[in-house]
Amino acid sequence: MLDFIIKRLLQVILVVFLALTAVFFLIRLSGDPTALFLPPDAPREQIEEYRELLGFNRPLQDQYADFMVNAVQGDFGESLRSQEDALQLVIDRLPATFQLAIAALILSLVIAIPLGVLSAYKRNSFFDRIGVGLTVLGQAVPNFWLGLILIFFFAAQLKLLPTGGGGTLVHLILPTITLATYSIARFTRFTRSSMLDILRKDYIRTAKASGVPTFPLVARFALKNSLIPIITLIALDLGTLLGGAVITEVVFAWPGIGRLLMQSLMNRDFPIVLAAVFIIALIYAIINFIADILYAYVNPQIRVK
Amino acid sequence: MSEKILEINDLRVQFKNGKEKVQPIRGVSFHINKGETLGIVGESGCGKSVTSLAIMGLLPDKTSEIASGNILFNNQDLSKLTDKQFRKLRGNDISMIFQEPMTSLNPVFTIGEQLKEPLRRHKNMSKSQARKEIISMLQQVGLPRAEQLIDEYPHQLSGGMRQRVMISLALLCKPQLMIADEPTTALDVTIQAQILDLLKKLKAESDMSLMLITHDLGVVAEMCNRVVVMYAGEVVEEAEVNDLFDSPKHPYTKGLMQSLPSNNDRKSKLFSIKGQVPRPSEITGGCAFANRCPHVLERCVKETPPSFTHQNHLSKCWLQDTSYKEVNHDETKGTAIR
Amino acid sequence: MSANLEKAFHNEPAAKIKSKKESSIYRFFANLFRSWTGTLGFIIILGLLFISIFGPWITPYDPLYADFSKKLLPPMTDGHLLGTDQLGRDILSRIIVGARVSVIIGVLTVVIAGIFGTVVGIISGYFRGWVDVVLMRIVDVQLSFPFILLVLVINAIIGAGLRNIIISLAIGGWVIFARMIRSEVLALREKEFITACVATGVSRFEILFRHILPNLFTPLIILASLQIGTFIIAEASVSFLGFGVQPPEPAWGNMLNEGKDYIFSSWWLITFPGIAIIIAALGVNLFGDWLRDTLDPELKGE
Repeated sequence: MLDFIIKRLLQVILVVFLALTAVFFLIRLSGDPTALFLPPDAPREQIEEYRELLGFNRPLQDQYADFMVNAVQGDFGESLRSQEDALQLVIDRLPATFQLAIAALILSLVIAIPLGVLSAYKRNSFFDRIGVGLTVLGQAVPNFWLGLILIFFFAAQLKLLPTGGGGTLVHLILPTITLATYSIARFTRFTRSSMLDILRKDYIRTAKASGVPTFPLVARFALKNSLIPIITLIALDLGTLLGGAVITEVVFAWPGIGRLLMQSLMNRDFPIVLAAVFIIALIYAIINFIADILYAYVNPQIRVK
Repeated sequence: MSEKILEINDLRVQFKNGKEKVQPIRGVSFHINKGETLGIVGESGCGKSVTSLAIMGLLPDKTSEIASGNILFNNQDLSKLTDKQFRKLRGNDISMIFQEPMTSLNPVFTIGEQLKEPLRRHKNMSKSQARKEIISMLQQVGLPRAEQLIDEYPHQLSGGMRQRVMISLALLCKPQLMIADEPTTALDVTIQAQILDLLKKLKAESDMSLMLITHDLGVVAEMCNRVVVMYAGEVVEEAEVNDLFDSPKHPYTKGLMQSLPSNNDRKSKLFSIKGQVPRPSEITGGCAFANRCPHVLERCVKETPPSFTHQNHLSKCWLQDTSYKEVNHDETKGTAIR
Repeated sequence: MSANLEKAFHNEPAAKIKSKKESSIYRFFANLFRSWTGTLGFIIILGLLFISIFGPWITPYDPLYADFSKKLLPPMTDGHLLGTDQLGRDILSRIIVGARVSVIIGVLTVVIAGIFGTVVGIISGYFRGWVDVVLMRIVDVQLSFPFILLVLVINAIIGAGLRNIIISLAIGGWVIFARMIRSEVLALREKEFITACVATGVSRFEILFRHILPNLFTPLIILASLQIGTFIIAEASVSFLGFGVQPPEPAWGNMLNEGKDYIFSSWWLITFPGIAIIIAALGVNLFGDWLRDTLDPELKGE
């Protein structure tokens, strides 16, 4: 088990390292951002001076080495705009993004797992058919559009909820629904199919043959078995959730990492972009790491090995 | 005659697949007496397992149904029970062990967690009581270090051990009837013998009845009091075990016996019945075995044979029609075979 | 499913089936029409193809023609079925023309990502060794970064525009193909018929091209059809955020980007392009699901 944890931790580091490397070179190869800060007719010397100031005139490998050495110490440089510490800016936004992502995850699990279980249990019933139809539809709806429509109905028309901004629980409602919809659709569909799969297994027949009533059978026996694939899916989908959070944050002006990343991309404020990529890759890798451990916990076959 | 614990009368099971309907069980009747071991023999696909699932009420609800007939367990018609009533029976009065010990236990629960379920449900036992009971049952089925085993997961056990666990699960509530569906097929030969010995021993210790489903006549000869031979969803022959082996009447049973290796000379090829069991959809009229029968008569293709009973020995074959005997020139050939 | 298919096939009088080719097309449709979701998906895809090819000729108005006197007209006024936008351009016409962008992006990205991913997957799965280790590490790293964010970051860095959004999506999407193809190849390598080939001395390349490649076709088609929907939505998201396809060229995503500022006054600006995206994604997904269920029953339902 310890071997496994160490191996996976090394993998986390590798992932973050390679992600940073890739984005670093991508940014440098696409040209330097100095031109953005200076008027288009700025004299050559001024551009050069600026380049030197920011270190863009040095050989690429040196810049890369510097960047990595600093990054390891948590220094991603300063925002090209506000001169604040890039990593700190990103970390300040972290709680807001977490709030949104976790609220959406909880909402989707609370809705999707019972729905998927029920759908599998009542397979081919009217309820099941409607449910399957909705999940198929839910996967085709772009979340930013859903966000706009929700704003239109609940904020613009009914004036029940705020259109955007952050801070209070009320602000959280629409973004959470927006972000959760896709995951609800996917989780429901997945829970249903893995449940159906489990219900066909021999050991379910054994349990029935020993007189276990259907409900406890489904609720405890079958669900614990299908938890393994569901946890994998959740881990995989957290990426989608984080990605979706970025777009949702922009739609609702939610002050999270996503909105910061978007603004920085627009402004070509690359220290912040790199810091944000670092944090996102790190979070994602850690989540996958936790999922692996959880996975081992629910699957005794792995745990014992 | 002793008391019947289970009686099946003209059972027909129907499978639906869209608009198509097939009957894998076409009018099966037999019974099991209290305390006896009944063997059910036949090739795969002849309806042995479907019959046992019908008794247990475990047929898939949406795609299959009992079309007609009844299943009487202690004179109570099982086919009319509600789900709830059935559950009280399952694992308690009737229990079942399956062919695949490797997949029949849930991989994410310990042995103890799975075995305590019927005890808690049917016998209302406390946790510690159930645990005690399970450990003693595990010991009874010959499992070593039962105290540790109870907290282990199925994948830590071998196939033979798992089948012992399955047997202990089936025995926990001291059922009146146990159905064993090919309990040894998936196991190694030496383990097979051990499991059969175990079943025999357990059987001898209680007054439980056993319905043993198998395709192996050797197992039948060793274990059973009476035998039902099934073919293509019908009972083609039923007799006391000695009767059956001494004078098999149906050509299918004769064929099965001839294909046992011990009945063949070393030099001659192993006997096999030509052809395959017809699929339920392929059976039209006449005897279902007609297309493979070495003694097939014109009549066999046209008319479905009824059951002829002679001294408690039932057989569904026109050759047994004594009123027809004079015309039947194949009779001599038929008996010559055994 | 295939048993049903066989039955459908056998029930037909033999004379009706003339050649092998005709029969396989017949079987395809016989099977397709059994599933109403598959049929619906197929019809939507045909419709999308039709309007993306003939779009410029069937639009009621010039999609780029701005008429400020007619700006923000609600649907069903002045002959504008779906109304006009903030510049007075006809929304229906813009949606019709925008279909082409979505189709081009969906198809081209899948082709590029599919080819690249397949090549990598085959190299990795068939030749194994250190190449496999390196390639799969890259795949792992990339998969550990959210797809849509990756596309967004790449597109923001290399610049907007139709060509660059296709490149960004392809860079973001190839890994899925590579991983799937690799595992298919690994599974195929273990199959008896490949072992038999090796045993009889067939060369590695002949095994690869004659025996492995043809067997990759089915999973590839299934994955490609399911990925098109993902790519269409991803493009719309990126364009909505202001990258991707740039105005004035109409794409469903950037129409929504422009329309979001009028959300309080003119709902039709955001409603209709969004519905267009949903219909397109739904059609492709339904067809892909059907294709998967039909061609690979083992995969049924995820």
